[in-house]
Amino acid sequence: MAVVTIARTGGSGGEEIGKAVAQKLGYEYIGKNMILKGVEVRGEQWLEWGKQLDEHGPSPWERFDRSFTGFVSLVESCIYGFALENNKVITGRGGNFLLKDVPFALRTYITAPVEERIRRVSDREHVNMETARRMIGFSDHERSSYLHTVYHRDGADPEDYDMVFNTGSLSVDEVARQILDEIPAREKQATPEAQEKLRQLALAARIKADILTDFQVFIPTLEVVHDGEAIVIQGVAHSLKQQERVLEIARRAAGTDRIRSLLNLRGA
Amino acid sequence: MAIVTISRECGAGGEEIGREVARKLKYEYVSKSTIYRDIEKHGEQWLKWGMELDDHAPSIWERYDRSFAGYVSLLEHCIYELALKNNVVILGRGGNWLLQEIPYALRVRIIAPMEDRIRLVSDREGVNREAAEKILRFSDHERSIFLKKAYHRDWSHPDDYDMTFNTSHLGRDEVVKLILDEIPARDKQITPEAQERLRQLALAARVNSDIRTDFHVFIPTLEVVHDGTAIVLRGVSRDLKQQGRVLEIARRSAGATGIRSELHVRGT
Repeated sequence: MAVVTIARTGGSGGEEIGKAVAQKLGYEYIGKNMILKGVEVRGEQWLEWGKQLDEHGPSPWERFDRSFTGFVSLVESCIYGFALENNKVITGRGGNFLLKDVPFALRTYITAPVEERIRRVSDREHVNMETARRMIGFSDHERSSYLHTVYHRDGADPEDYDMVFNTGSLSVDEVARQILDEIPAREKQATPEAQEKLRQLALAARIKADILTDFQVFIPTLEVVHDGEAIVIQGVAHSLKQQERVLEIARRAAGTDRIRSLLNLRGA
Repeated sequence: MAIVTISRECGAGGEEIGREVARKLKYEYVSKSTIYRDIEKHGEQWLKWGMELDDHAPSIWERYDRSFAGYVSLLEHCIYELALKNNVVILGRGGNWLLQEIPYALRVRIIAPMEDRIRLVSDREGVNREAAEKILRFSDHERSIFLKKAYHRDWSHPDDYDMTFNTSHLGRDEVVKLILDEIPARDKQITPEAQERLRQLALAARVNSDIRTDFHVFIPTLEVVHDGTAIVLRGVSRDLKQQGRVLEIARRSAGATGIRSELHVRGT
Protein backbone atom coordinates (compact mmCIF):
# COMPACT_ATOMS: atom_id res chain seq x y z
CA MET A 1 0.00 0.00 0.00
CA ALA A 2 2.79 2.36 -0.85
CA VAL A 3 4.08 4.24 -3.88
CA VAL A 4 7.69 4.37 -5.05
CA THR A 5 8.97 7.13 -7.33
CA ILE A 6 12.21 6.59 -9.17
CA ALA A 7 14.08 9.51 -10.68
CA ARG A 8 17.11 8.46 -12.66
CA THR A 9 19.89 9.56 -14.95
CA GLY A 10 20.58 7.79 -18.25
CA GLY A 11 22.55 4.57 -17.88
CA SER A 12 22.16 4.50 -14.12
CA GLY A 13 20.12 1.29 -14.10
CA GLY A 14 17.16 3.13 -12.61
CA GLU A 15 14.56 1.51 -14.84
CA GLU A 16 15.97 -1.94 -14.25
CA ILE A 17 15.79 -1.31 -10.51
CA GLY A 18 12.26 0.05 -10.78
CA LYS A 19 11.08 -3.01 -12.66
CA ALA A 20 12.80 -5.36 -10.22
CA VAL A 21 11.18 -3.62 -7.26
CA ALA A 22 7.76 -3.66 -8.93
CA GLN A 23 8.07 -7.33 -9.73
CA LYS A 24 9.14 -8.30 -6.20
CA LEU A 25 6.37 -6.27 -4.58
CA GLY A 26 3.67 -7.14 -7.07
CA TYR A 27 3.37 -3.42 -7.84
CA GLU A 28 2.60 -1.98 -11.24
CA TYR A 29 5.53 -0.34 -13.04
CA ILE A 30 4.58 3.04 -14.51
CA GLY A 31 6.89 4.22 -17.28
CA LYS A 32 6.47 5.88 -20.62
CA ASN A 33 3.90 3.37 -21.92
CA MET A 34 1.51 3.74 -19.02
CA ILE A 35 1.89 7.52 -18.92
CA LEU A 36 1.14 7.84 -22.61
CA LYS A 37 -1.82 5.46 -22.24
CA GLY A 38 -3.16 7.73 -19.52
CA VAL A 39 -2.64 10.78 -21.69
CA GLU A 40 -4.33 9.14 -24.68
CA VAL A 41 -7.59 8.87 -22.74
CA ARG A 42 -7.96 12.57 -23.32
CA GLY A 43 -7.77 12.26 -27.06
CA GLU A 44 -5.52 11.07 -29.83
CA GLN A 45 -3.82 14.40 -30.48
CA TRP A 46 -2.69 14.43 -26.85
CA LEU A 47 -1.04 11.10 -27.45
CA GLU A 48 0.72 12.48 -30.53
CA TRP A 49 1.91 15.57 -28.66
CA GLY A 50 2.77 13.39 -25.70
CA LYS A 51 5.16 11.24 -27.68
CA GLN A 52 7.20 14.32 -28.50
CA LEU A 53 6.84 16.21 -25.24
CA ASP A 54 7.31 13.43 -22.68
CA GLU A 55 10.46 14.01 -20.63
CA HIS A 56 11.52 16.63 -23.10
CA GLY A 57 12.94 20.05 -22.33
CA PRO A 58 10.53 22.53 -23.91
CA SER A 59 11.77 25.26 -26.21
CA PRO A 60 10.78 28.82 -25.27
CA TRP A 61 7.83 28.65 -27.65
CA GLU A 62 6.64 25.30 -26.45
CA ARG A 63 6.80 26.35 -22.85
CA PHE A 64 3.85 28.70 -23.22
CA ASP A 65 2.06 26.68 -25.83
CA ARG A 66 -1.17 25.09 -24.77
CA SER A 67 -0.01 21.68 -25.96
CA PHE A 68 2.86 21.74 -23.47
CA THR A 69 0.96 23.18 -20.51
CA GLY A 70 -1.92 20.86 -21.27
CA PHE A 71 0.36 17.88 -21.59
CA VAL A 72 2.12 18.63 -18.30
CA SER A 73 -1.22 18.92 -16.51
CA LEU A 74 -2.26 15.56 -18.01
CA VAL A 75 0.96 13.88 -16.88
CA GLU A 76 0.54 15.28 -13.39
CA SER A 77 -3.05 14.14 -13.24
CA CYS A 78 -2.04 10.67 -14.47
CA ILE A 79 0.69 10.35 -11.88
CA TYR A 80 -1.64 11.38 -9.08
CA GLY A 81 -4.24 8.96 -10.42
CA PHE A 82 -1.76 6.10 -10.40
CA ALA A 83 -0.57 7.06 -6.91
CA LEU A 84 -4.17 7.00 -5.66
CA GLU A 85 -4.51 3.44 -6.89
CA ASN A 86 -1.50 2.59 -4.69
CA ASN A 87 1.07 -0.12 -5.19
CA LYS A 88 2.88 1.59 -8.03
CA VAL A 89 6.46 2.23 -9.01
CA ILE A 90 6.43 5.52 -10.94
CA THR A 91 9.41 6.50 -13.05
CA GLY A 92 10.54 10.05 -13.69
CA ARG A 93 8.36 12.95 -14.75
CA GLY A 94 8.69 14.78 -11.46
CA GLY A 95 6.81 12.15 -9.45
CA ASN A 96 8.90 12.96 -6.39
CA PHE A 97 7.89 16.62 -6.55
CA LEU A 98 4.22 15.78 -6.96
CA LEU A 99 4.20 13.34 -4.04
CA LYS A 100 6.46 15.16 -1.61
CA ASP A 101 3.63 15.72 0.88
CA VAL A 102 2.51 12.11 0.74
CA PRO A 103 4.35 10.21 3.51
CA PHE A 104 3.61 6.77 2.08
CA ALA A 105 5.43 7.71 -1.13
CA LEU A 106 9.08 6.68 -1.14
CA ARG A 107 11.00 9.11 -3.36
CA THR A 108 14.23 7.72 -4.76
CA TYR A 109 16.90 9.02 -7.10
CA ILE A 110 19.28 6.66 -8.83
CA THR A 111 22.44 7.81 -10.52
CA ALA A 112 26.08 6.91 -11.12
CA PRO A 113 29.22 8.81 -12.13
CA VAL A 114 28.86 9.92 -15.72
CA GLU A 115 31.84 7.95 -17.07
CA GLU A 116 30.34 4.75 -15.70
CA ARG A 117 26.95 5.55 -17.24
CA ILE A 118 28.54 6.24 -20.59
CA ARG A 119 30.30 2.90 -20.46
CA ARG A 120 27.04 1.10 -19.72
CA VAL A 121 25.07 2.79 -22.48
CA SER A 122 27.90 2.12 -24.91
CA ASP A 123 27.67 -1.60 -24.07
CA ARG A 124 23.90 -1.79 -23.96
CA GLU A 125 23.19 0.13 -27.16
CA HIS A 126 26.26 -1.13 -29.02
CA VAL A 127 27.57 2.33 -29.80
CA ASN A 128 30.99 3.82 -29.30
CA MET A 129 31.82 5.89 -26.22
CA GLU A 130 31.54 9.21 -28.01
CA THR A 131 28.04 8.43 -29.20
CA ALA A 132 27.07 7.13 -25.79
CA ARG A 133 28.39 10.32 -24.21
CA ARG A 134 26.24 12.40 -26.55
CA MET A 135 23.16 10.24 -25.93
CA ILE A 136 23.50 10.56 -22.19
CA GLY A 137 24.27 14.25 -22.35
CA PHE A 138 21.13 14.72 -24.41
CA SER A 139 18.77 12.65 -22.27
CA ASP A 140 20.11 14.06 -18.98
CA HIS A 141 19.68 17.55 -20.32
CA GLU A 142 16.18 16.98 -21.66
CA ARG A 143 14.96 15.48 -18.41
CA SER A 144 16.45 18.10 -16.18
CA SER A 145 15.24 20.85 -18.50
CA TYR A 146 11.67 19.50 -18.27
CA LEU A 147 11.91 19.39 -14.47
CA HIS A 148 13.43 22.82 -14.33
CA THR A 149 10.65 24.31 -16.44
CA VAL A 150 7.83 22.65 -14.55
CA TYR A 151 9.16 22.40 -10.98
CA HIS A 152 12.00 24.94 -10.95
CA ARG A 153 14.35 22.30 -9.57
CA ASP A 154 17.13 20.48 -11.37
CA GLY A 155 16.23 16.96 -10.33
CA ALA A 156 19.74 16.23 -9.06
CA ASP A 157 19.40 17.68 -5.57
CA PRO A 158 19.32 15.00 -2.84
CA GLU A 159 17.05 17.27 -0.78
CA ASP A 160 14.17 16.45 -3.15
CA TYR A 161 14.31 12.72 -2.40
CA ASP A 162 14.13 10.32 0.53
CA MET A 163 16.98 8.14 -0.69
CA VAL A 164 19.68 8.58 -3.33
CA PHE A 165 21.67 5.62 -4.66
CA ASN A 166 24.94 5.54 -6.55
CA THR A 167 25.00 2.51 -8.84
CA GLY A 168 28.66 3.17 -9.57
CA SER A 169 29.35 1.26 -6.40
CA LEU A 170 26.04 -0.45 -5.51
CA SER A 171 24.61 -3.23 -7.64
CA VAL A 172 21.05 -3.25 -9.01
CA ASP A 173 20.15 -5.99 -6.53
CA GLU A 174 21.53 -4.05 -3.58
CA VAL A 175 19.56 -0.94 -4.46
CA ALA A 176 16.38 -2.92 -5.11
CA ARG A 177 16.76 -4.58 -1.73
CA GLN A 178 17.26 -1.25 0.02
CA ILE A 179 14.04 0.05 -1.51
CA LEU A 180 12.14 -3.12 -0.59
CA ASP A 181 13.46 -2.89 2.98
CA GLU A 182 11.96 0.55 3.39
CA ILE A 183 8.47 -0.35 2.12
CA PRO A 184 6.99 -1.65 5.40
CA ALA A 185 7.78 1.64 7.13
CA ARG A 186 6.22 3.58 4.25
CA GLU A 187 3.08 1.46 4.34
CA LYS A 188 2.60 2.35 8.00
CA GLN A 189 2.32 5.96 6.86
CA ALA A 190 -0.78 5.28 4.76
CA THR A 191 -3.09 6.76 7.39
CA PRO A 192 -6.61 7.97 6.53
CA GLU A 193 -5.34 11.58 6.76
CA ALA A 194 -2.46 10.92 4.37
CA GLN A 195 -4.73 9.16 1.91
CA GLU A 196 -7.21 12.01 2.07
CA LYS A 197 -4.39 14.45 1.35
CA LEU A 198 -3.47 12.46 -1.75
CA ARG A 199 -7.10 12.34 -2.84
CA GLN A 200 -7.24 16.13 -2.60
CA LEU A 201 -4.01 16.58 -4.56
CA ALA A 202 -5.27 14.20 -7.24
CA LEU A 203 -8.62 15.95 -7.53
CA ALA A 204 -7.01 19.36 -7.94
CA ALA A 205 -4.70 17.94 -10.62
CA ARG A 206 -7.61 16.29 -12.42
CA ILE A 207 -9.62 19.51 -12.51
CA LYS A 208 -6.61 21.49 -13.71
CA ALA A 209 -6.00 18.98 -16.49
CA ASP A 210 -9.68 18.99 -17.51
CA ILE A 211 -9.59 22.76 -17.84
CA LEU A 212 -6.20 23.07 -19.56
CA THR A 213 -7.08 20.42 -22.14
CA ASP A 214 -10.45 21.91 -22.97
CA PHE A 215 -10.24 23.67 -26.30
CA GLN A 216 -12.92 26.21 -25.57
CA VAL A 217 -10.75 27.65 -22.85
CA PHE A 218 -7.25 29.09 -22.94
CA ILE A 219 -6.18 30.15 -19.49
CA PRO A 220 -2.42 29.79 -19.12
CA THR A 221 -2.40 31.52 -15.72
CA LEU A 222 -4.58 28.80 -14.21
CA GLU A 223 -3.78 27.48 -10.72
CA VAL A 224 -5.87 24.80 -9.04
CA VAL A 225 -5.16 23.63 -5.51
CA HIS A 226 -7.09 21.95 -2.70
CA ASP A 227 -6.70 23.85 0.52
CA GLY A 228 -8.07 21.11 2.74
CA GLU A 229 -11.61 22.43 2.59
CA ALA A 230 -12.29 23.22 -1.02
CA ILE A 231 -10.88 23.30 -4.51
CA VAL A 232 -9.47 26.77 -5.08
CA ILE A 233 -9.24 28.08 -8.62
CA GLN A 234 -7.05 31.03 -9.50
CA GLY A 235 -6.16 32.70 -12.75
CA VAL A 236 -7.18 35.37 -15.19
CA ALA A 237 -10.17 34.72 -17.40
CA HIS A 238 -10.76 36.74 -20.58
CA SER A 239 -14.51 36.86 -20.45
CA LEU A 240 -17.46 35.93 -18.31
CA LYS A 241 -18.21 33.12 -20.73
CA GLN A 242 -14.72 31.70 -20.25
CA GLN A 243 -14.99 32.05 -16.50
CA GLU A 244 -18.25 30.16 -16.51
CA ARG A 245 -16.87 27.39 -18.67
CA VAL A 246 -13.95 26.97 -16.29
CA LEU A 247 -16.26 26.71 -13.29
CA GLU A 248 -18.55 24.33 -15.14
CA ILE A 249 -15.68 21.99 -15.93
CA ALA A 250 -14.46 22.24 -12.36
CA ARG A 251 -17.87 21.50 -10.84
CA ARG A 252 -18.35 18.47 -13.03
CA ALA A 253 -15.10 16.93 -11.85
CA ALA A 254 -15.28 18.07 -8.23
CA GLY A 255 -18.26 15.94 -7.28
CA THR A 256 -19.06 16.64 -3.65
CA ASP A 257 -15.96 18.74 -3.01
CA ARG A 258 -16.64 22.46 -2.81
CA ILE A 259 -15.22 24.94 -5.27
CA ARG A 260 -13.95 28.38 -4.39
CA SER A 261 -13.23 30.66 -7.30
CA LEU A 262 -10.60 33.35 -7.07
CA LEU A 263 -10.65 33.85 -10.80
CA ASN A 264 -10.03 37.39 -11.96
CA LEU A 265 -11.93 38.69 -14.93
CA ARG A 266 -9.60 40.63 -17.19
CA GLY A 267 -10.50 44.27 -17.17
CA ALA A 268 -12.91 43.74 -14.30
CA MET B 1 34.51 -6.44 8.60
CA ALA B 2 33.47 -3.39 6.65
CA ILE B 3 33.81 0.36 7.06
CA VAL B 4 31.00 2.87 7.18
CA THR B 5 31.53 6.58 6.56
CA ILE B 6 28.78 8.98 7.54
CA SER B 7 28.73 12.46 6.15
CA ARG B 8 25.91 14.62 7.42
CA GLU B 9 24.31 18.01 7.48
CA CYS B 10 24.27 19.50 10.97
CA GLY B 11 20.99 18.70 12.63
CA ALA B 12 19.99 15.90 10.27
CA GLY B 13 20.55 13.27 12.95
CA GLY B 14 23.71 11.77 11.44
CA GLU B 15 25.56 11.35 14.72
CA GLU B 16 22.77 9.40 16.41
CA ILE B 17 22.49 7.20 13.34
CA GLY B 18 26.26 6.62 13.23
CA ARG B 19 26.39 5.77 16.92
CA GLU B 20 23.48 3.36 16.64
CA VAL B 21 24.94 1.64 13.57
CA ALA B 22 28.25 1.23 15.40
CA ARG B 23 26.50 -0.12 18.47
CA LYS B 24 24.45 -2.67 16.52
CA LEU B 25 27.42 -3.83 14.45
CA LYS B 26 29.83 -3.68 17.39
CA TYR B 27 32.04 -1.40 15.31
CA GLU B 28 34.18 1.38 16.74
CA TYR B 29 32.49 4.76 16.45
CA VAL B 30 35.04 7.33 15.27
CA SER B 31 34.19 10.96 15.76
CA LYS B 32 35.96 14.17 16.65
CA SER B 33 37.19 13.02 20.07
CA THR B 34 38.74 9.80 18.73
CA ILE B 35 40.54 11.73 16.04
CA TYR B 36 41.75 14.43 18.45
CA ARG B 37 43.14 11.71 20.67
CA ASP B 38 45.10 10.29 17.74
CA ILE B 39 46.23 13.69 16.49
CA GLU B 40 47.53 14.64 19.93
CA LYS B 41 49.94 11.70 19.79
CA HIS B 42 51.76 13.62 17.08
CA GLY B 43 52.32 16.62 19.24
CA GLU B 44 50.34 18.93 21.43
CA GLN B 45 50.45 21.87 19.03
CA TRP B 46 48.63 19.80 16.42
CA LEU B 47 45.83 19.20 18.87
CA LYS B 48 45.61 22.93 19.56
CA TRP B 49 45.59 23.80 15.90
CA GLY B 50 43.24 20.95 15.20
CA MET B 51 40.63 22.24 17.54
CA GLU B 52 40.75 25.64 15.86
CA LEU B 53 41.00 24.44 12.29
CA ASP B 54 38.65 21.46 12.41
CA ASP B 55 35.49 21.94 10.37
CA HIS B 56 36.50 25.51 9.85
CA ALA B 57 36.62 27.41 6.60
CA PRO B 58 40.25 28.43 6.23
CA SER B 59 40.95 32.07 5.60
CA ILE B 60 43.06 32.84 2.59
CA TRP B 61 46.17 33.01 4.77
CA GLU B 62 45.50 29.78 6.55
CA ARG B 63 44.82 27.93 3.35
CA TYR B 64 48.43 28.17 2.31
CA ASP B 65 49.71 28.05 5.82
CA ARG B 66 51.62 25.01 6.90
CA SER B 67 49.41 24.53 9.94
CA PHE B 68 46.30 24.01 7.80
CA ALA B 69 48.00 21.78 5.25
CA GLY B 70 49.81 19.91 7.99
CA TYR B 71 46.62 19.49 9.97
CA VAL B 72 44.69 18.13 6.98
CA SER B 73 47.47 15.66 6.20
CA LEU B 74 47.54 14.51 9.82
CA LEU B 75 43.77 14.12 9.80
CA GLU B 76 43.90 11.97 6.67
CA HIS B 77 46.68 9.84 8.08
CA CYS B 78 44.71 9.23 11.28
CA ILE B 79 41.55 8.35 9.38
CA TYR B 80 43.38 5.84 7.18
CA GLU B 81 44.96 4.24 10.24
CA LEU B 82 41.52 3.83 11.78
CA ALA B 83 40.07 2.48 8.53
CA LEU B 84 42.85 -0.12 8.33
CA LYS B 85 41.54 -1.64 11.54
CA ASN B 86 38.18 -2.32 9.83
CA ASN B 87 34.90 -2.46 11.69
CA VAL B 88 34.66 1.28 12.13
CA VAL B 89 32.00 3.92 11.62
CA ILE B 90 33.74 7.16 10.68
CA LEU B 91 31.83 10.39 11.14
CA GLY B 92 32.57 13.26 8.79
CA ARG B 93 35.99 14.65 7.90
CA GLY B 94 35.77 13.70 4.25
CA GLY B 95 35.99 10.00 5.03
CA ASN B 96 33.90 9.21 1.96
CA TRP B 97 36.48 10.77 -0.35
CA LEU B 98 39.42 9.20 1.39
CA LEU B 99 37.84 5.77 1.01
CA GLN B 100 36.18 6.15 -2.39
CA GLU B 101 38.41 3.50 -3.95
CA ILE B 102 37.63 0.96 -1.24
CA PRO B 103 34.61 -1.18 -2.21
CA TYR B 104 34.05 -2.45 1.33
CA ALA B 105 33.63 1.09 2.62
CA LEU B 106 29.97 2.09 2.61
CA ARG B 107 29.74 5.84 2.08
CA VAL B 108 26.55 7.27 3.52
CA ARG B 109 25.26 10.84 3.54
CA ILE B 110 22.48 12.03 5.87
CA ILE B 111 20.49 15.14 5.00
CA ALA B 112 17.26 16.79 6.09
CA PRO B 113 15.26 19.87 5.12
CA MET B 114 16.24 23.10 6.86
CA GLU B 115 13.01 23.21 8.90
CA ASP B 116 13.61 19.78 10.43
CA ARG B 117 17.21 20.62 11.19
CA ILE B 118 16.27 23.89 12.86
CA ARG B 119 13.84 22.00 15.06
CA LEU B 120 16.39 19.36 16.01
CA VAL B 121 19.16 21.85 16.82
CA SER B 122 16.76 24.05 18.74
CA ASP B 123 15.77 21.09 20.94
CA ARG B 124 19.24 19.64 21.28
CA GLU B 125 21.02 22.91 22.13
CA GLY B 126 18.11 24.44 24.02
CA VAL B 127 18.01 27.59 21.92
CA ASN B 128 15.25 29.39 20.09
CA ARG B 129 14.47 29.02 16.39
CA GLU B 130 16.39 32.07 15.28
CA ALA B 131 19.53 31.08 17.11
CA ALA B 132 19.25 27.53 15.80
CA GLU B 133 18.98 28.81 12.25
CA LYS B 134 22.07 30.99 12.70
CA ILE B 135 24.03 28.08 14.13
CA LEU B 136 23.02 25.92 11.18
CA ARG B 137 23.83 28.40 8.46
CA PHE B 138 27.22 29.06 10.02
CA SER B 139 28.00 25.40 10.49
CA ASP B 140 26.88 24.47 6.94
CA HIS B 141 28.96 27.24 5.49
CA GLU B 142 32.12 26.47 7.43
CA ARG B 143 31.89 22.75 6.91
CA SER B 144 31.25 22.84 3.20
CA ILE B 145 34.10 25.25 2.59
CA PHE B 146 36.46 23.17 4.72
CA LEU B 147 35.67 20.16 2.59
CA LYS B 148 35.79 22.07 -0.67
CA LYS B 149 39.22 23.47 0.16
CA ALA B 150 40.52 20.18 1.45
CA TYR B 151 39.00 17.96 -1.24
CA HIS B 152 37.78 20.33 -3.97
CA ARG B 153 34.29 18.84 -4.18
CA ASP B 154 30.78 19.93 -3.38
CA TRP B 155 29.81 18.01 -0.34
CA SER B 156 26.38 16.81 -1.41
CA HIS B 157 27.17 15.33 -4.81
CA PRO B 158 25.47 11.92 -5.25
CA ASP B 159 28.55 10.57 -7.08
CA ASP B 160 30.60 10.89 -3.90
CA TYR B 161 28.41 8.63 -1.76
CA ASP B 162 26.83 5.21 -2.09
CA MET B 163 23.55 6.15 -0.44
CA THR B 164 21.99 9.41 0.70
CA PHE B 165 19.15 9.41 3.21
CA ASN B 166 16.78 12.30 3.82
CA THR B 167 15.52 12.03 7.38
CA SER B 168 12.42 14.18 6.79
CA HIS B 169 10.36 11.10 5.97
CA LEU B 170 12.74 8.34 7.04
CA GLY B 171 12.97 7.75 10.77
CA ARG B 172 16.32 7.26 12.48
CA ASP B 173 15.65 3.58 13.10
CA GLU B 174 14.73 3.05 9.45
CA VAL B 175 17.99 4.58 8.25
CA VAL B 176 19.98 2.50 10.73
CA LYS B 177 18.28 -0.65 9.46
CA LEU B 178 18.92 0.24 5.83
CA ILE B 179 22.61 0.79 6.54
CA LEU B 180 22.87 -2.48 8.45
CA ASP B 181 21.13 -4.33 5.61
CA GLU B 182 23.79 -3.21 3.16
CA ILE B 183 26.74 -4.44 5.28
CA PRO B 184 26.73 -8.09 4.14
CA ALA B 185 27.11 -7.00 0.52
CA ARG B 186 29.99 -4.69 1.52
CA ASP B 187 31.66 -7.49 3.47
CA LYS B 188 31.72 -9.58 0.31
CA GLN B 189 33.86 -6.85 -1.26
CA ILE B 190 36.74 -7.44 1.16
CA THR B 191 39.20 -8.99 -1.24
CA PRO B 192 42.99 -9.17 -0.78
CA GLU B 193 43.32 -6.62 -3.62
CA ALA B 194 40.98 -4.16 -1.94
CA GLN B 195 42.74 -4.50 1.40
CA GLU B 196 46.10 -4.03 -0.27
CA ARG B 197 44.85 -0.86 -1.95
CA LEU B 198 43.79 0.53 1.43
CA ARG B 199 47.24 -0.27 2.81
CA GLN B 200 48.77 1.63 -0.10
CA LEU B 201 46.53 4.65 0.40
CA ALA B 202 47.31 4.62 4.12
CA LEU B 203 51.05 4.46 3.50
CA ALA B 204 50.93 7.38 1.07
CA ALA B 205 48.97 9.37 3.66
CA ARG B 206 51.52 8.53 6.34
CA VAL B 207 54.44 9.65 4.17
CA ASN B 208 52.57 12.82 3.18
CA SER B 209 51.80 13.60 6.79
CA ASP B 210 55.36 12.94 8.00
CA ILE B 211 56.70 15.40 5.45
CA ARG B 212 54.04 18.05 5.98
CA THR B 213 54.36 18.05 9.74
CA ASP B 214 58.14 18.34 9.67
CA PHE B 215 59.09 21.91 10.54
CA HIS B 216 62.35 21.90 8.62
CA VAL B 217 60.45 21.49 5.39
CA PHE B 218 57.80 23.65 3.78
CA ILE B 219 56.68 22.29 0.43
CA PRO B 220 53.10 23.36 -0.26
CA THR B 221 52.97 21.79 -3.73
CA LEU B 222 53.68 18.32 -2.35
CA GLU B 223 51.66 15.39 -3.61
CA VAL B 224 52.21 11.85 -2.37
CA VAL B 225 50.45 8.90 -4.01
CA HIS B 226 50.90 5.15 -4.24
CA ASP B 227 50.71 4.03 -7.83
CA GLY B 228 50.40 0.35 -7.05
CA THR B 229 54.13 -0.28 -7.15
CA ALA B 230 55.80 2.50 -5.23
CA ILE B 231 55.26 5.71 -3.34
CA VAL B 232 55.44 8.57 -5.83
CA LEU B 233 56.46 12.06 -4.72
CA ARG B 234 55.49 15.10 -6.77
CA GLY B 235 55.96 18.79 -6.16
CA VAL B 236 58.43 21.62 -6.42
CA SER B 237 61.18 21.89 -3.84
CA ARG B 238 63.13 25.03 -3.16
CA ASP B 239 66.58 23.58 -3.54
CA LEU B 240 68.51 20.34 -3.57
CA LYS B 241 68.95 20.40 0.20
CA GLN B 242 65.19 20.55 0.76
CA GLN B 243 64.63 17.85 -1.82
CA GLY B 244 67.12 15.66 0.00
CA ARG B 245 65.36 16.22 3.28
CA VAL B 246 61.97 15.33 1.78
CA LEU B 247 63.33 12.11 0.31
CA GLU B 248 64.99 11.20 3.60
CA ILE B 249 61.70 11.59 5.51
CA ALA B 250 59.84 9.68 2.82
CA ARG B 251 62.28 6.76 2.82
CA ARG B 252 62.09 6.49 6.58
CA SER B 253 58.28 6.49 6.58
CA ALA B 254 57.82 4.21 3.62
CA GLY B 255 59.72 1.35 5.19
CA ALA B 256 60.11 -1.48 2.71
CA THR B 257 58.12 0.22 -0.04
CA GLY B 258 60.09 1.84 -2.82
CA ILE B 259 60.06 5.58 -3.45
CA ARG B 260 59.94 7.19 -6.85
CA SER B 261 60.69 10.90 -6.92
CA GLU B 262 59.13 13.14 -9.52
CA LEU B 263 60.12 16.19 -7.50
CA HIS B 264 61.40 19.22 -9.36
CA VAL B 265 63.95 21.53 -7.90
CA ARG B 266 62.89 25.11 -8.45
CA GLY B 267 64.64 26.78 -11.34
CA THR B 268 66.02 23.60 -12.87
